Amino acid sequence: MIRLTYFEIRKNYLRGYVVIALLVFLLLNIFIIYKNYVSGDSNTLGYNLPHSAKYEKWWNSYDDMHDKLSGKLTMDKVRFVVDEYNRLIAMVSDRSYSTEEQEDTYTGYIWGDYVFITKYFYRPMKYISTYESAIKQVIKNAEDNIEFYSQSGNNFDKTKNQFIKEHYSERKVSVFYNSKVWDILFKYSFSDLLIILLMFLGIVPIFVNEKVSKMEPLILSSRKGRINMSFVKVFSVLLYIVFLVSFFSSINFLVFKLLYGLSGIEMPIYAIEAFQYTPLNCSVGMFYVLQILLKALGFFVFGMWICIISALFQRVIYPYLISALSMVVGIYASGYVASIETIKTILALISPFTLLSSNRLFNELLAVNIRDIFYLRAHVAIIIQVCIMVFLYFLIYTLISTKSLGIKKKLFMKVGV
Amino acid sequence: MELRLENIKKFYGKQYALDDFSAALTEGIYGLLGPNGAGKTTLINIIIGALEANEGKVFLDGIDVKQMCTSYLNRIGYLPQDPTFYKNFRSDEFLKYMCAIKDIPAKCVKSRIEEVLELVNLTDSYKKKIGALSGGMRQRLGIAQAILNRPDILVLDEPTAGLDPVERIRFRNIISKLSKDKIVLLATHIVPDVEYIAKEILILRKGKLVKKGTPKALEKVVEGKVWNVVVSEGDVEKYTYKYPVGNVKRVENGLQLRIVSECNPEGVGEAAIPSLEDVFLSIMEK
Repeated sequence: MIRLTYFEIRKNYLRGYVVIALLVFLLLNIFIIYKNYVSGDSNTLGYNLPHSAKYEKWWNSYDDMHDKLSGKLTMDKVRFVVDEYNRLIAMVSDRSYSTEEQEDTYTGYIWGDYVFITKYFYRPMKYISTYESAIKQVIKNAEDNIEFYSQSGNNFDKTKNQFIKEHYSERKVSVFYNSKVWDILFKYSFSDLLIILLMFLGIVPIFVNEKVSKMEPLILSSRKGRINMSFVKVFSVLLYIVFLVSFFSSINFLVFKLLYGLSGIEMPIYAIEAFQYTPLNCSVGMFYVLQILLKALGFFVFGMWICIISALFQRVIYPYLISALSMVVGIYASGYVASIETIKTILALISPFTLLSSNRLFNELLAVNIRDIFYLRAHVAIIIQVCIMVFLYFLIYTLISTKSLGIKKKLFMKVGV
Repeated sequence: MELRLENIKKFYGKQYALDDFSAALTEGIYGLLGPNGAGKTTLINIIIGALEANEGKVFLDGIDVKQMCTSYLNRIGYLPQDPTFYKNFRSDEFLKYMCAIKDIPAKCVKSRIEEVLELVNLTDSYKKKIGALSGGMRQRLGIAQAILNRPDILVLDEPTAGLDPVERIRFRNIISKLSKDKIVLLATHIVPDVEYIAKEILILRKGKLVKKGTPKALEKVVEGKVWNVVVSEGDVEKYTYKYPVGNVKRVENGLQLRIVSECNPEGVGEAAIPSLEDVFLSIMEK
């Protein structure tokens, strides 16, 4: 099995064009992260300062402030930020402040300092220090809701509020770090596109090449080929995807660490404001690992879908076209991940690309109502994708070991392909 | 050893690819002759287990091969029609891969590869990329992979197509060497490929087995029906339209046509010694 897996990898992925594409995409990925770093990420609220010479003073002050404030949240740190905020708001509220450049400022200007402190320190610190009381209010509301929905017989909302009560209690953020860069890292998805392109290059020819090279009957007339080939091919797809996802995730992490200086890997995920209502109670580091695992699962399901398309055609061009079309449809459907409409939600749950946007799956409490019971949408998505994965494997096995056209036709009629 | 095919039927929709094919094969070379689309590859795919027949069974030494499962596959060696294999693999890598899918134990791989490479005379080219091999070398590599598992049944689908005459002769010699204690089924539409080496010839036409026998016995069928007729260039079309013409050869006083016909064409034909090609022609023209 190991020998066969090695040869399968050698055959499909250790090809010149795949390796060259991987290297080119690696450089492109680093370039895009760097470009976003320099130009500023306008998609992230409050974090769109470019890393240019114009803002050098801002960034120097920003880094100095974080050196001073990062770590355990203390009264002294809070007091310092609040005092600075109060000092600056007093200066700008009567509009009597100087608009000239000044030496003893963070940014060179009074107004700049006000924006700087408010946006990057006062508001984030306020969010963190008030999180505990805010979430307590959420839990209190949930308790009231449980009582109300129990009386009205609304089991779904009752179980949803029970979930909130169980999972949101005891939440507290006692550290202050630059959480926005983690948010940027979680939302960074350009490398996903590169992984999909590499999947096309490596996986689309996986079965169709056996036909082009006339190897298919040879494989099917060989002992191990007949029994294990579909498993080995799918397993090699899994290894390829695990490699690609871990490789790009590691590169992303390293480049972000190098540029933005990721710190506070152990702070809770809800320390990031965008994740304040997340159902998760893990650290940001653990969430990044979870994101990698979910991406791997999503890519793997899509990879198996490509395998099926590859097994159905005699020429490689059609699997490329259909895979690309599937990708577009899948990404479009995954856009409905937070939809409240049933059909759109189902489409999103079926799409493996939903698992690629785990930040959207987990940044708020997304639910699915199944027979009046609350289920976490992320859990349902994972279970559905696992079921699809098993079904696709069965389909691949059937297609490969049964070369009778009649049986293929029957099979397609059954599954409605 | 006997490979018996009983009433094999294979159809795609309403189209028969194989219609009630039955034959019993023992050790030796069998030539499977038929024009393109006659059902040779379908029959081969059924024999090697890559395709399921709609009806009929294949028996090896009296046992249904379906019951033998993968132990039957261990006894098969197969060379597909016009294989390109994996162009990015080196020859030795490819053979190692074939050893893996044939489940040859890892400790035997090296010796087995050396053995087959020597047999097909590819020892010097084993480090070459398959994409860099000539057509003949690639076919020899195909033979090498087919015999890696020391099969009892060797199935070769159009193995000489596209080869130059020297390679074709070399290929025939290799097959002759291999045929001892083996059933070798050689499918082709090129009659001379099997004429001299085959123990028996099976002729397929539109999915049906229309003739089976030794080359000599088959040649007897057309004995006295093969004629050489010398005609002028202007008459060639007339004869071609009227009679099955096998060969056209330029001679001193015109063109010599080789015709298979019950009666002497136009009374001007000269009786010729029949060949397997004449048999093939007479069947295909029916």
